[in-house]
Amino acid sequence: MSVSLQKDSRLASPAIVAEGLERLGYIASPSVATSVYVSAALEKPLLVEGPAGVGKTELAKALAQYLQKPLIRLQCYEGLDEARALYEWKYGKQLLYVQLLKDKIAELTAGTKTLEQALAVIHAQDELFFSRDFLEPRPLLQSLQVPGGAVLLVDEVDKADPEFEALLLEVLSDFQVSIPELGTIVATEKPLVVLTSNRVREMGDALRRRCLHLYLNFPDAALEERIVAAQVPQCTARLRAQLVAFVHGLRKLDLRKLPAVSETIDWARTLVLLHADQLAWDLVQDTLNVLLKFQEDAEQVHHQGLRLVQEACRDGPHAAALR
Amino acid sequence: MDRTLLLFVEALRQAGVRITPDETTDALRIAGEVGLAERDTLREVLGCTLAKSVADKRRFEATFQRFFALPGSSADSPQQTAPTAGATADDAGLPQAEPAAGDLSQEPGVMMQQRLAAAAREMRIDTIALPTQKGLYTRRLAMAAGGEELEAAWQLAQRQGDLETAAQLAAQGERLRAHARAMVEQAYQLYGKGRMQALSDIILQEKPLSALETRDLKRMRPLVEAMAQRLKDKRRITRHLRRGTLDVRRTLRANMGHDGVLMEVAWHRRLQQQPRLVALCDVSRSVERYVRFLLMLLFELKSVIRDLQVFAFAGDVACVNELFQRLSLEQALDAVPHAAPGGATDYGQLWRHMTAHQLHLFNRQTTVLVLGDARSNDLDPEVALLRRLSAQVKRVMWLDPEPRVQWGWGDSVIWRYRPLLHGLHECSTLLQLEHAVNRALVDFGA
Repeated sequence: MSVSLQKDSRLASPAIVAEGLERLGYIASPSVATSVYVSAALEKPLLVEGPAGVGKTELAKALAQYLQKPLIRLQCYEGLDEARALYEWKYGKQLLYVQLLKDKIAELTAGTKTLEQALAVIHAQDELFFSRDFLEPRPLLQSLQVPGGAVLLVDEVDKADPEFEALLLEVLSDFQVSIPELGTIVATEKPLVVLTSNRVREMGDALRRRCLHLYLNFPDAALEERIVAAQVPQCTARLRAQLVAFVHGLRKLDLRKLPAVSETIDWARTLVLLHADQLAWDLVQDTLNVLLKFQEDAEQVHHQGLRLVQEACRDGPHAAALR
Repeated sequence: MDRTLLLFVEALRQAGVRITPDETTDALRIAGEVGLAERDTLREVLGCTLAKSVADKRRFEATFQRFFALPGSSADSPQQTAPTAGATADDAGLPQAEPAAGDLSQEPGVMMQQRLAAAAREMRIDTIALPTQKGLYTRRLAMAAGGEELEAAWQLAQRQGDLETAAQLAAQGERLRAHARAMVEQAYQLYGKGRMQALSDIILQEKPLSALETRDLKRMRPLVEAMAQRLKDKRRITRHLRRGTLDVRRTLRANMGHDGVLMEVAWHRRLQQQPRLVALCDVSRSVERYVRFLLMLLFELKSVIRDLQVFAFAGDVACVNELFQRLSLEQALDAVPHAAPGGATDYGQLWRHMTAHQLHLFNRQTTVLVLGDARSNDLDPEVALLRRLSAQVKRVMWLDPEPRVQWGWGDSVIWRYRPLLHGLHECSTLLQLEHAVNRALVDFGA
């Protein structure tokens, strides 16, 4: 049991992972760091679920940057099939080669007397047209072939059809792809796999069982402040505390789309651009469209926003300074 | 440590989290790596390996808190967890060393806990299955954890007339029993309650829906949800891929412009047919209760049946799609039975309405699902109209909530409809309803 599962010292413990990601500006909560650590230790894909904009995709990007491995991304959508996800034969190239090599084929079959003999000659060659030269690897297969391993991001896997999940199973559990004409291609180095889902559709049980599961929710205020500090260092501590408190106030309202972390960051950037160093209601009104993406949400906040701004400015650690 | 984790997995399963042996192996491997010392790290690593959905995460958190608060469940022998025993022992009251038998009256609380933990392990406290076993388990646990010696010492003190010691020993015994009781109660919550629940679920699924009591209804919702999930999982497998094989004719035609040199490839495309389910629900008093469960099931299946048309009928017919889409399940269930105009149930009127106003819904992609007892109050059953509909749809499935022996008796016209149906199933229990809907959905989208 005590046999070490770890190969990469950069993934040796949750603390090391958290620290490494933080250096790159991705502030990982303990559960995120632990999940990444477990995923690397057990060589299992990590399924990350949660609302949009909490940093699911960013996690994969940050991991690739941290491990200095290429990020291979497969964006899922309805109708995605194996030809676009796994591999495809280059049919056009095959047909073109057949045309170009017409004479050569004629030469080859020139000596034969019967149709059977001619077919046997061609049969001996047909492996040529189903070799790796005519294989177009798509993201899933690509990620298995990268020397030194890669980070594979299967983004918004819930948007793909249920049958696509079945396609993923072989890749994710055994890190191999079976191609009838070529045989099984096994990963040279197992990629670190991150799947993300917004829970548009519930994932099948078989896929869940093969993955580790991480539910990424909106961060608490302290963590979100750290995230803003890392992403927008120009933002003053007072403004940071106030804007995070305001966003947390917004998330308590019954809005059609709650502002996510990415929107907090965008908003912080906007406020910094406007040279703000503390929150004020007129400033909030002017920049609210960065945070809220629906008209009805904006209208609702116009009614309650002043109170939220006051609360955000009152409760923050810099309240005393304000008064 | 492995035993502790296996017990924890068992407790999670009892709490309703589905865990495969493979996942258990993962949990053991990773827990061996991080150890039991860091409670938070342990919770995180077990959480991501064992709980794979948001609902499971909630159950996991609750069970984790309860399990690691239970002395004995996490009780490894001190040798096994020697380097990490400190923190875990603090958290879960683990034995640091086997308590020395002897001066029981001096035994401090920790020692008592340790004895209890050891005794609980010995007697397999996790086998508790029924609430009525609690008394027996408590007594056996207390006795095994030193109660016997305490009792003997108390009797000796009584005989010797040492009343002060006797009183002390009695208080000690009472404390021991209280601890044992708390421990058995927790063990029941962890291991027994789930078993009890599973048993009552099986009974509920086979109980006639008409005999359900109000308290049962609350339990039915998760059962129906689980049922819907099973049906959804099955349906996933029956769907087909979109792209077909190479279309030679179209390929040749497409490449005529390239002087016959084949450069573009054309594929057979499989048309995505939109399968439609038309559910016709009899909401008269006699069938209302069954309709409730069918509606619950259909509501859960909304995501896989994209084109779902629901009608309620009694004296006349009403389309309730809008209620179904707009309201929450509870509201819809209450609203649907009142949507159809009352009066005596008239199956003839149902078919007249459908052929007159809703004929466009019935085509080769349509599966019709009727839930009703076919008791038409001696009104004209309009068999000819049903024949017409039946001929132009893919299938007509009928779910009759009455026991088979009552079919055709009195004003029931089910046998007159029977030859026009592609399936007729009795559905007086939840289990039968699941089988019937499953049959209706087989090949539904193909």
